[in-house]
Amino acid sequence: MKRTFQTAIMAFISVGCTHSVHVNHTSDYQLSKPLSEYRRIEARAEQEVILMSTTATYASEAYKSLMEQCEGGVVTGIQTRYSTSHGFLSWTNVVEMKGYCSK
Amino acid sequence: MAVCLVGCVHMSAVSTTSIPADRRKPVEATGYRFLFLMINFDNNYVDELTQDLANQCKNGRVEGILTKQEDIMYFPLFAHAVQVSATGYCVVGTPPAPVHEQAAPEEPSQETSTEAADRELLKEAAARELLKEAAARELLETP
Repeated sequence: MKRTFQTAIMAFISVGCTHSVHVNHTSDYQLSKPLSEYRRIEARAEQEVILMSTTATYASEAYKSLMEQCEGGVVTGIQTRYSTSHGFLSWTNVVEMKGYCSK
Repeated sequence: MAVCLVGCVHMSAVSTTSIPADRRKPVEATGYRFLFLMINFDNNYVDELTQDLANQCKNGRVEGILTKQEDIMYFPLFAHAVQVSATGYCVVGTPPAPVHEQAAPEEPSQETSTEAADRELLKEAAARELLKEAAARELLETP
């Protein structure tokens, strides 16, 4: 009983303490003017997973959000980071995109 | 049993290229491979992806390509699949001219008239030396 209690306490303490980066990708830079004249934009999309997930649309959501922040302009130099933060019997997948908007 | 019957999708990779301003014509391509017992003999299904995108944009170039690789589990161990999808935009027209660092303008020569005269003298001296060498060579060669 004591051991079970200790294990439960340990599990509770260690919740959410691990994070892992799966992919960190940087796109090309298509510059028509100096980079300092571009606007920095960011987008983030998450997916909460409990045991399992049946879709992976959050990457498209981040991409769409990035585009919406730069209507009529070029988004270049995009850094895409895909990571997972682990919890107790659950985890959160995160896609972060950071880029430069020409407008 | 319930766990076994529920499908599962996991994204294993994602990347994107620069997104163009002209987003009127979206293009999309997907590569798919079903894996029985997780056995896969080749990865050629991915090669068709770029060709498929290019065919949808024959007179332009594809930009803003979002590529995703997803691992799909239909039933543990027995039925799996891998899907690689790419979406982008077909852009027709010339790409923007790249920015280059402008070369610094050439500074006007600060040479004074004395320096120029010195340079001329050095040139003349070098020419005289060459003439002397040529004359000496001729003397040696004559029988």
